[in-house]
Formats: sequence, C-alpha cells, structure tokens
Amino acid sequence: MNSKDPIIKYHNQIEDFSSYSEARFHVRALAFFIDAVILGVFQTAFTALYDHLLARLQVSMDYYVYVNVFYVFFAYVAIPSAYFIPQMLKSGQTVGKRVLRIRVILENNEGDLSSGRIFLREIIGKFVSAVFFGAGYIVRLFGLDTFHDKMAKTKVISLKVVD
Amino acid sequence: MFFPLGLGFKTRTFPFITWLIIISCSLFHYFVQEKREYEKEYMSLQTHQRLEEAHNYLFYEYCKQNLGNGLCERFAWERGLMIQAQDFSSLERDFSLTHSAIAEFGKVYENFLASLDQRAQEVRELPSYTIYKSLMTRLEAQTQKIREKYHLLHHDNLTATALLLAVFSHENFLHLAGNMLFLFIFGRYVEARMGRAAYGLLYLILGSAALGLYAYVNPQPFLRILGASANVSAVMGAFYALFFHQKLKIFFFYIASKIAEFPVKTYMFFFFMLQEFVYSMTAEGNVAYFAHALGLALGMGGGFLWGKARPVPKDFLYSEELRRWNKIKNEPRKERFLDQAMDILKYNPHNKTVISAVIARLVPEDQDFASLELEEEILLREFLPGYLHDLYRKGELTEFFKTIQQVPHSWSMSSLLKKFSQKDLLKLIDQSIDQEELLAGVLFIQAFVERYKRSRKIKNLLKTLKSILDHMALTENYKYHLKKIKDLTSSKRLRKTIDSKLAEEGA
Repeated sequence: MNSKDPIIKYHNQIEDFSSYSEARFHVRALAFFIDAVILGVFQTAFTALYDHLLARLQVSMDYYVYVNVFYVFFAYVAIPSAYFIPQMLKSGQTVGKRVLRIRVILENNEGDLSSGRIFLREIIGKFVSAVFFGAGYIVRLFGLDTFHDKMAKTKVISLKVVD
Repeated sequence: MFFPLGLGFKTRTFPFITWLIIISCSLFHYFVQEKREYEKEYMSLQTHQRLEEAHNYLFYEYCKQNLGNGLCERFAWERGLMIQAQDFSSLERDFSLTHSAIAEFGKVYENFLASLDQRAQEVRELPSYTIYKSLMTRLEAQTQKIREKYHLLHHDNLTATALLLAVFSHENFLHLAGNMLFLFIFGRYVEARMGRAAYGLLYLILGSAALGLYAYVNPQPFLRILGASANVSAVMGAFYALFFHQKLKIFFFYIASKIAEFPVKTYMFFFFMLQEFVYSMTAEGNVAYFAHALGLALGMGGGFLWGKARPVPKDFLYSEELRRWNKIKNEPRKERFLDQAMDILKYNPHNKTVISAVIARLVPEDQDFASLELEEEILLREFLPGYLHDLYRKGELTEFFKTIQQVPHSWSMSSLLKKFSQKDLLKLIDQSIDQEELLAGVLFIQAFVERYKRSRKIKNLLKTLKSILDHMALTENYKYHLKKIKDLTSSKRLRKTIDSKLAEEGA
C-alpha cells in the first residue's frame, strides 16, 4: 500500500461495556440517595405549592379523591419521569449516578436506553422494588438483580475500569 | 444526609470577622440572653392564660354555629375546651369519627383562625368576642411594655437596639449552632473575597435590614423575632453572587459516603433558594422563611454589585489572588514563577489560567522532557490530564493534538487521558484520523487498548490502526515513536500489530 490509500475505520462509535464490572450495592444506594434528595426538593416544592393552592381555593371535600389522584400523578409519576427520562436518555446516568460514576446499561452490554424502558425501570420497577418492604432493592446485597433491573432488563455498571 | 463543605479550599487570610461573629453570638447566647427574664415575665402574665381560655371558648361558639353536628359540644365537654394539636390526631380514636368528619372539623378550626385573624364579621358577632377583644388589647399593651423593657424586636418596637440584639440572639443551641455552622462554611470565602470591613458591613447592614423589613411587614401581636438567620442568608446570597461559576463540595452520607462537587449555581438554587422561597410563600410554624428569603435576596444584590465593582476573572476566586498573579505572570525566572504560581494554586487548585501558564513554562522549548527536573516532571504529570481535558472540552483540538504528541511515551497514555470517557476516546480516534493527525490517532488507540483490555472493540480498533500505519509514510520520526510505543505498551496485541508493520518496513 502507499500513503495515498484511504484509512479505513473498522471500528464504530458504539461503546462496549464488557470491560466494566457491576456496581456494588452501597455505591448504588448512595447514588439513589443523591437523586432522592434532588427529586425531593422538586416534590417538596410541588407539595408546598399544591397545599397552598388547595387552601386558597377552598376545594370542597367531595373533590378530594380526584385532587389526590392529581397530586399522586404529579408528585410520583410526572415529576420523577421529568427528572429521570431526559437525563438517562442522554447518558444512562442521573446526577447521583454521575457523582458515583455508575451507569445504567442494557443487560447485553449496550448503552442506549429508550424512554419506555427508563419509565419501566424508574417509575414502575422502582415502585415494585419498594412495595415489598424494599426487598426489590435489598436482593442486590445478595448478588441478585434488583426487581426494577429485572423488569427493564438492565444492569448498573461501575465506570471505574477493572484491570 | 448531605452537607455543604464550601469551596473546599483553605483561605489565605484568617476569617477574623467570621470567627468574631461566631464568638459574639455564642457569648451573647450563653452569658447575656440566657439571664434575661422576659420569657418568664411574659408567660407569668395572667391575661395570657385568660386569653387562651377566651380564644378556645370563642372557637367553641364558632364551631357550634358552623358544624352543627354535636361534635363541638362533645369535644368541648370531654377536652375542656382546650384545643391542642394532638387533639386532632386522637379524634378518630376517641370520638369514632370518619376521616371526612375529622377533616371537616379541622377545616372549621382553620376557617376560625383565618376569620379571627381578619376580624371577620362572623367572629365579631359571636357573644364572647367582646371579652376576647378586651383581653387581647390588655395583653398587647402588657407585652409591648415587656418588649420595650428588654428591647425585643417587633413591628411595634422597631428600634436599632432591638434589631442589633435580635441579630445576636438565638432561640436555643440548635438555632445558634445551625446558623454559625453555615456562616463558617460560606462566610470565610465571602470574607476573603470582599475584605473584612465590607464583609462585616454586609453581614450587619443587609442581614439586619432583612430582619427589620420582616418585622415591619409582620404586625402579628405576639411574634418574637430573633436570630442571625437573615444575616447568614445574606452571606449565602453574597456567596452565590460572588462564586457563581465555582464548584461547591458537598458531603453525602447514606450507607456509603462521598464528597462530590456541584456547581454553586445548581446547589444554591435547588437546596436553598427554591426551598426558602417556596417555604416563605407557603410554610407555617416558627421559622421566619420570609426573613431568610429577604436576606438571601439582599445578599445576592450586595454580592452582585460588589462583584461588578471589583470583578475578577472566572478562574480566580479573590482579588488578592488576581493581584498576586498579575505580579508574577511575566516573571522571567522559572523557579520563582513556579514557586509563586504553586502558592496561588495552594488556595485555588482549580485556577485554569495559572495551571495553563505553569504547563506552558514546564514544557521544554526543545520538547526534551528528559531535561525536566524531577519536581517539574511530577507537577506536569499532575496537571496535564486536567489541562488536556479542558482543551478538548473547549474544542481546541490543534493545541490538544500538539501537546499529546510532545509527551514522552513513558508517561502512560492511558493515565494522561484518564479524564476521558470511552465515548470521548472513540471520538478522538475519529477526529485525529479526519484531521490527519495520525500519530495522535495511534496514541489514542494505545490509550483505549490499554484501558479497556477486555473490550470487544479492540479487534476492530487494531484493524483501524493497521490501516493508519499502512497509510502513514513511515519517516524516521514516526518509526522512532512507533518503536517507543511498541516497547512501552502493556498490550501484547498492540505490540504485535506495530511490530509486524515495522518488520514489514524493515525497521
């Protein structure tokens, strides 16, 4: 070959995560806590404004059921979705995960998560993990997959490379 | 649990004013305020007790008129008319009530308080309102006398002495400790930036103005206003305005612990401003959130104006730091320059202007890194990863490629590029090929292969490397670099690929 030959790029830009090990329980717990704190600020602000509005508007007791459904939807579905989905679509990481250098990827070591899968993992899956007295989270301590990871077919890796 | 740790650097000057305030508030709390008898005097007023009774009787009358299901009579009969917070929680158990009945009863109580506050017609028409009102007027007059005697801050006693005493008084140890801790965390940096006099004035004038304003707009009769919270908020507001572009260290603890860096703008917005402003609009209780919010707003304004009047570049924290830098940046003696620059970096290790200048001075003109002193080499190795990452983030790729090719091969490419993610490295490989920076491309492939030893991408990357090597006109210079990479790399597969190419060329 001579120097005029074009360079062929045999590789592509898709990341491969097989060099990374799975994140440990306490690292994931701390990342979860950081996200919970940030999310908590938004939820607290929303709750405070909601209570304030409710008191000002003097909503009748007859409508409390509908009003509470609206509250639960916003505080536990809409706000967490708005927090998790855009961040994780971008990089598979949230603020907490970025701080702890961990990342959510697919079981087959591919990086791109869809909005539906993120919603399934972060909203529905985490509800399921929490509803059995947190058993869905605690199983990770014994080396098993968390319920939300199982449901969404994802895993969490530590971005610190193992030599 | 999480806790801010400030900027995380030492300050060059001792935070004298911050400590002076902390000591003054503590001494005042333990040796002056505690000896005061105003609380005892206020609580011993007989009118106080009688007003409470009149208030509860008034509610009984209101409740009877508005609820009309016999619950008010039962409640008054069994609880003796005294309304306590815990009464509501035990209603369900003691009176066999449904949730909606309890909520309705609570609503009536809330409406009663609101109507009483507004002196609404429906309350004024109740039979016992006249008694309540006369007791209230008497108690207000007695309380005002106590306030004047002890200089307590209130809407009706808004004097300079009362304001000053309120700023140094605290309700209890936790109130004092919380305020002083946050003052120490944020105040010392604001003091280092503004100077002692300006900082002291900001603390006293803006903080007290916020507290005074809060007292002025809150005419509630028995409100007790005290604490340095508004002053500390003013300091935090100034910190926010003065260090807007910096990063704040936060300690997180939950099963594991971690100190993480967050941008000041993000932290202050989420954890402080948002909460303070939302709570100031909505929360009830004995915390003066509105005073905090006022202090924060005034402090931010003060800090912003100060920052505009005495600006420092984004990389610098203090005027003093900038002054020192201006003095030494053109210093011709390398050793003296490095000493002074390191002294600046001791108090602001993230100063990119100084780091870049240090790197520029350390890189030998003839690019012979062997001529570096050991200490200089250590410094360069410490600063280069961050410097390279900054160049990449700023898009200064020409300078980036130039620097990376100057670095000796013995300095492990994978640790020099440790701040780069896998995605960054893959992008860099493509960019270096596109820009015909082929040696840089080889170095990036080396970094990738050494770092991600188990990656399935290595096979294809080595094929790309082979294609690069085939494309390269192997000059003596390239051969020298390839030999070095081959000798020093920890990857057998990379070594084999380069070796076969060199053998092909007969090198």
